[in-house]
Order: sequence, then structure tokens, then C-alpha cells
Amino acid sequence: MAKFSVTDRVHDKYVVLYVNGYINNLGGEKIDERCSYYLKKGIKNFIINFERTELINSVGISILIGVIEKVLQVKGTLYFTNANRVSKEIFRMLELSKFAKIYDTEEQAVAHLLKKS
Amino acid sequence: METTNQFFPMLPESEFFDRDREVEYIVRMGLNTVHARTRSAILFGSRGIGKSEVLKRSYHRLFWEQDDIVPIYYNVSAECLFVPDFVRNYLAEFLRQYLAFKHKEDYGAFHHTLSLRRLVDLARDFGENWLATLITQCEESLAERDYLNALKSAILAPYYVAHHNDCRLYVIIDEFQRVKDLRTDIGPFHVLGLYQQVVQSRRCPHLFSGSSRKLIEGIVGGSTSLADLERLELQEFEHHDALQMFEQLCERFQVPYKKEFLVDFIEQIGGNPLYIRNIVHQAQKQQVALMSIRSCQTIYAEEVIAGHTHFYWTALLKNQIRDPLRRKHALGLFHTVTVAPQLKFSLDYLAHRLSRSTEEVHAILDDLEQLGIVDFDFGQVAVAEDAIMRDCFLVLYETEVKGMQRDRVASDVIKRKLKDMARFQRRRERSGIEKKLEQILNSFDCQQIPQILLSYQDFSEQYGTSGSDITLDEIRKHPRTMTLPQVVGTSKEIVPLDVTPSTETYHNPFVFTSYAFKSGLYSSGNEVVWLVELLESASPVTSVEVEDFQAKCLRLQKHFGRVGLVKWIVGKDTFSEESLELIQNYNMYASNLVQLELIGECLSTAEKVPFRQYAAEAAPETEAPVTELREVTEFNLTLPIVADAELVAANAIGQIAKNADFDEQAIGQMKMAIIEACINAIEYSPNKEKKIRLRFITKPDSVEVWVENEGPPLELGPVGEPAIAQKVIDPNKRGWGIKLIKSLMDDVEFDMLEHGTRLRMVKLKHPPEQQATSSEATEGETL
Repeated sequence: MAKFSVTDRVHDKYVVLYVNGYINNLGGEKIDERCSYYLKKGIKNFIINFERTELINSVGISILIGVIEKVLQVKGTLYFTNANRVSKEIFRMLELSKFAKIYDTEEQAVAHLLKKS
Repeated sequence: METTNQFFPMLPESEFFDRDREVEYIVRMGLNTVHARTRSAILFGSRGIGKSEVLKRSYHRLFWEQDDIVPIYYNVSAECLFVPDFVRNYLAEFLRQYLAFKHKEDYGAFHHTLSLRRLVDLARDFGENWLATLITQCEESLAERDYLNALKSAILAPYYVAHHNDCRLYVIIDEFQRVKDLRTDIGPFHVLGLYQQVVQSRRCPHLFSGSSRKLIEGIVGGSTSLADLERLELQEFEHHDALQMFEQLCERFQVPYKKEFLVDFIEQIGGNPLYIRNIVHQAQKQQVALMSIRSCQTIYAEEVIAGHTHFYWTALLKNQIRDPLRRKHALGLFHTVTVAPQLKFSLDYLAHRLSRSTEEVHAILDDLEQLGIVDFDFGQVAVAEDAIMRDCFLVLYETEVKGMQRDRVASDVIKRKLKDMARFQRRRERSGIEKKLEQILNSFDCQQIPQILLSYQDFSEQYGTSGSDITLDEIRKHPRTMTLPQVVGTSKEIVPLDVTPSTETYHNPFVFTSYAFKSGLYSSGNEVVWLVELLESASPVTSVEVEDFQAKCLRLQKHFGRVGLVKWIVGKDTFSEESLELIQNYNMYASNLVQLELIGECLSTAEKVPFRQYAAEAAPETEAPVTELREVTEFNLTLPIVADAELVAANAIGQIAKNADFDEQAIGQMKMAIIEACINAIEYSPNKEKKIRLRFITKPDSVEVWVENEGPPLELGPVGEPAIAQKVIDPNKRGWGIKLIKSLMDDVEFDMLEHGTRLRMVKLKHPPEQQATSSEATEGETL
């Protein structure tokens, strides 16, 4: 399995984080680190694209919940996109979808975000 | 353990040996009821093996050491098999123990002599009006001769209480097989099906105990109930423990002894603690030292003719068969099946031999089976392997049926036993290696060992021809391991399982035969026989010897039909090159004594389990088509505690499930679940030296995964699941693992082991309620 990495695409209203690999504690912390970095820069909206992530564990999920908390504190918005079926099932089952919008594609999430703003 | 405050008489502490782990296990089962983790179970084992003592001690601890689970212990008495008596007695005991537990400060007030009526009044005094009414209704059903309703209400009383009062109970029923003999004034009363509801309850699981697993399963009945049952077998003491008990008792009761004669005694009577205790008491009573063969056999004869063991079996027989004439027929039948040379007998043969109808013989066999002294199955009869019991019944036959004088019988017993003793002494002198090999074979119990220990070729290539310097730690570094089967018996007498009564045993003094089951799963598809040749000559094993062994195996093969055969040749030191070539061609295992010693060390350091445990069976074996049984495949994986070890397990289950034709989503769910299971196991392992053991069992419709780790037991915490709204603001955001596992798999169970935790989870190919909505997320949902 590929080493975990996060790349990002920055827009003035939002940031897209492309996560690649297994989201465990290390992977989760990298996502958290990138979000914190952009939050400090004043960006409040985040799209996390899970297209290249097959597996996610409960420690990774707990860190994602930490990210949710931080985004909620600044009244920002969080989108999860391109997740595989099982990951989507988990987001739903653990009710992360109450706080992060789930879209099948990044484009759909961007469209929603721009329309909202 | 305190011996005061006892509800039931128990053995003094000084006479209770080596069953602490078993007591602990049952106490844990009781305690786990609080988390609804305990399944109902059956505990079986030979008579006198100590089941009741273990159960009473477990009950005693559950009663005094905690306040959450109400323990109930009931011993089905042979005196209370008339349905109204049983119902009243059971309810009285239940009510008495329930009230005493709830009001421990006054437990002395709930003594045995209280009538049911008085107990009902007490229940009302303590505000248990609902329970009092339930019992009154039972009484009314009895008065109306509505026995079915009365019995059902009594059996379900703990279940109703658990649900009505929102509490947990753990119900232990001892001598459970006796309920098969429940009767009313118009005849036998069948309880089949009445226990199904309590068996499936996690609020008041039951532990049914008795001497016959088959009978208990027959009473509990129904494939659904059987599938839920955990099965525990209490076994005889191992030789070493039995000897220790024997010595300690001799010292306590000041019976002089010579150790070598105690060893022979154990060979003779086995590791049954009741018999050991009785022999010592008899020696003390007669003031005879166990210092000579003659004195030992005199004590033995006295014990089987007029000692506690004699009275124990006589009382059981009289309780079971009250009619003296029928009892004589039973003794005649037992004599026939014990002294005749064949091992199994058909019903027709016995009917003919005893000049009785097959129905009559059948009924007597039922009685003897309930006593736990014969096994009657598929129309054939086999006598339990219990020498002292056999002698007790033969003595009864000779005195009560044949009318022989006691002195003459005693003299015969002593004569016979003296011959046996001589045989035991010869056996004691036999080759130590042979004994070691037999011990090793008998200790095969699904352990994993490095494969190199069964391949002399690999072993000698790596460590030289003798390999005598190698240590167990080095051997354990070998990556390739193999899982041994669970051996149920080793002998030199080949008894094919489909033998007909006319077929004599096939005696082969040069080959050990171990009957075993792969994965410890007792089904015909898993049956395997190990044929083992021991060559004690100092010179290298030759090709002629290998050819000779192969020829023996071929001759034996026809006796075992479709059963898988494993061939293993054990030489003293080295093997010739030609012999190794043949060993490879014939697909044999080969080891020398150094390897054998290492195998012994490997097995002796494996964790001991308190009971021999049996996998729950999804359905009675006879109902499952053979082809399905053969589709069960097992994989084992041992993971070190290193970063991302869980991904190795996820990849393994991915491939296994793919091979088993699971769909992509199910495979993804299993991968996620196994990752969580491994993370838990890793977190609860005390150090990085430990390993996580995984077992994958694929069946036609499911995949079962076991994840086992050593360390403190997993704490599942109070009932309830993490809530996202709380977690978002809570500094501790973890705690999702168990919820994930339970949601992604179809059946999940945690077993708290003595030194760790075992998680068992099952994924079905076609779950009963597949959620149609679970697979697709709608666009932009914020669920």
C-alpha cells in the first residue's frame, strides 16, 4: 500500500485536500495538520477528496472528527467526496455525515459550496 | 475460599485439587452476563470427575463476590422427577436463592427447609409480588394438572424475572440429563423444546451440566439452540496432577505409600479425583499402607466391593433403575458388553444374546447411557473407558445376578488386578521415547509449530545432521508454521470408525495411530488419522525401513476409507539420503529425537485452556451434506506487533473473501472490520514481543475470523455507544472500533480468555436482512 500523502488545491473560498493511502493515526494527523494550516490562513471551507483512499480506521476517523470540530468552531463547511462505498457507509453509520456533507464527486461539492456562498 | 456461608455442601479446601482455573472460567462466564456476552453452555465429563464441585464453588463465588448477576444453582434430583415435585422443587430453590442474593444480609433466613408456600410469602414481604404471583400461577396449573404449562413456567421463571426486573441471572443446572426422565402419573413427560428460549437468552444464560454431552444436547434440542451453545468438557486430571493429588491426600490422611505404586494406581484408575479420594479414604479406614502391590490391590478390591465407589455406583444404578429385575437385566447387559472381546455391539446382537426384545434392550441401554457408563449410538453400544466403574458393575453382576460370595469375588478382583499391575509395571519400563512420542501426540490441540520440526531434511540442512545445539527460540523464528489437529486419542490398536462388530481390532505394535480433527471441529470432513512409526535404532533410518512403513500405511489405508492419513516417521538420530528421497516421494513427515524434543517443548509452552472446548455447531452433523462439510477451509496467520500489521490481515481477508466469491462491498467491510479488530488486539497486548493470532475459516456461506491476543482482557465498558454530537466536543474522540466491527460484520462475539481476548466475527454471504440503502449515498446528503 502506498505511503500516505496529502496534496491540496487552494481556491480563495476553499481548499481541496487530496488524500492518498490508508488513513490511520499518521494519515489522519497529516489531514489535520493541513486543515489547521489553512484555518490559520482564514480559509473556512474544506473539501476532502478520498478518491485514492481505500481504507480508513477508527483512529483516522477520530482525527477527522477533530477536524470537524475545528471547522465548526469557525463556522466553516466540510465536504467529503469521492469516497468508496464502504467509507461512505462508515461515515453514515458513525453519523459524520451530520457534520460533513457527502458528495460523490468533487465537482458536485464545489458547485454546492459556490452556490451557497 | 471460605467454607462458611455455603449454600451447598462442598469439599474441604484440602481435598479440592487443581480445578481453580475451571472455577475461574465459569465465574467469568457468569460475570460476563452483565455485558450480555455469555452464551448458554453445556459442561460435560465423566462421573466423579468433579463437575458438581466446580459448579458449586463457582456459584459460591458468584454469590458472595459481586452484586450484579443473580446466580442460581440447581441439581436435578433423582427423587424429584415427578413433574409436580420437580416444578415445586425447582421454583423453591430458584426463589430461595434469588431472595437470598437480593437480601444477602439475611441469607441465613432462606434455609433449605423453607416450603415453597413460605418462600412465596417471603417474596411478598420483600415486595416481589410479581414473582410470587408467577409461582402461584404455576401452582394453579399443577392443581389443574396442566403439567406442560406448569413446567414451562418453572423453566422460564428465571428468564421472566430477568426481563421483568431488568436484571441478569446465571443459571447452573447440574445433573441435567435427569430431566429426560421427568414423568407424570400417566407416563413419561418430554421436555424437548422447553429450554430453547432460555438457551438463547443473554440475560439469563444457562449452564447445563451432566455426564453425557449427547443427552444434554438431545434435551436442549433444536438446531437453533445447539448452534448457540458453548461446549466445555471437564477432563480427568493429567497424570502428573493426579499423582500430586494422590500424594497430598496420602500425607493428609497419614497413609504411608510408595510413589511407584501410586503411579500404577493412576494407570489403573485414571485421573478421576473421586476415585483417588476414595482409595485414600479406604486405605486410611483399613489402616493399610500403599507400599506393596498386594496391599494396593486389596484396597482396590475393598473399594469396588464395599467402598464409597461401590456405593456411589450402586446408588446411581438404583436411582436410575428402580425395578430390581430390570436392574439385573441391566447388569447382565453391562456384563455382556464389557467382557466380550469386540468393542461395539449392535442392538440385535444384544437382544439375541440376552433373550430380550430389542425394545427392552433399548430401554435398558437408555438407562445405562444416562448413568454415563455406555454410549449408545447409531445402533451400536460402547462402554465408557473407566476401569473402576467397570469393576464395580462386574462385582455387582457377580454378587447380585450370579449370587457369588463376596470373598470369592474379592479374590477374583485381586487376582485380576495383580495381573494388571504386572502389566502396568512392564509398561512403566517400556521405552521412554515411545512414551514421550505418545504424550506428544496426545497433546496435539490445534497448536502451531514450526514446520521444520517435521521435516528432517530441512532441519539437517539448516542445523547439521544432529541439530542438537538448536534452541526453541531459534526454531520459533522460522516463518513457516503448521497447525496441528486436535487429537482425541492415540493407540496402537487400529480401530477403523466404520468397524462392524465382527471386525476385530487391527493390532500393529509398530505404528501409533492418533485420531484427530482438523481445527478441533468434530465433523467427518475434518477427520484425520496420524500414523506414526518410531525407529529406535541408533543407525540412520534406511530406505528399507521407510518402504516398510509405507507398506504398513498402505495396508492400513483401506481401514480408514476416506479419512485423511498423515504419515510421520520418527528416527533416533539421522536419516540416510535414500530414505529422505523416499520420505519426500511418499509425502511423509520425518523427525529425529532432537526435533521430537523441540516439538514437546513447543507444545508444553503453549497456553493451557481450562476446558477442552468445542466449536459451536451450526446444525447437527447428520443434517449437513458431506460435500458442504468438505468446503470448509481454514487459514491461520500470526502477526507481530509492528506498524501497519493490521494491513497484512486486511490483505489476507481480502484475498480469502475474494476466493470465496464475496462481493466487493462485503470484502471492503471485512477489511475495515479486521483492521479494527487488529488495532484492538495490538492495543491490548502488553508488549511488542507478543503476537496476534488470526484464524480465517471459510464455509460455503460465510467467512469466520478469529482474532486472539494475549494481555489484559478487553474492556468493553458500559452498554452504550459513542455519540457523534458528544464526540465532536469531547477531547477523547476515540472509541469507535467496536461499533464499526459490529456494524460491518453479521455476528460478533468477544470471549475473555485467561490471558487475553478472542474476538470471533462472522460475515455471511447472504445476510438475512441486507440493507438495500446501505450501498449508495445520495448526492449531497447530510445524513
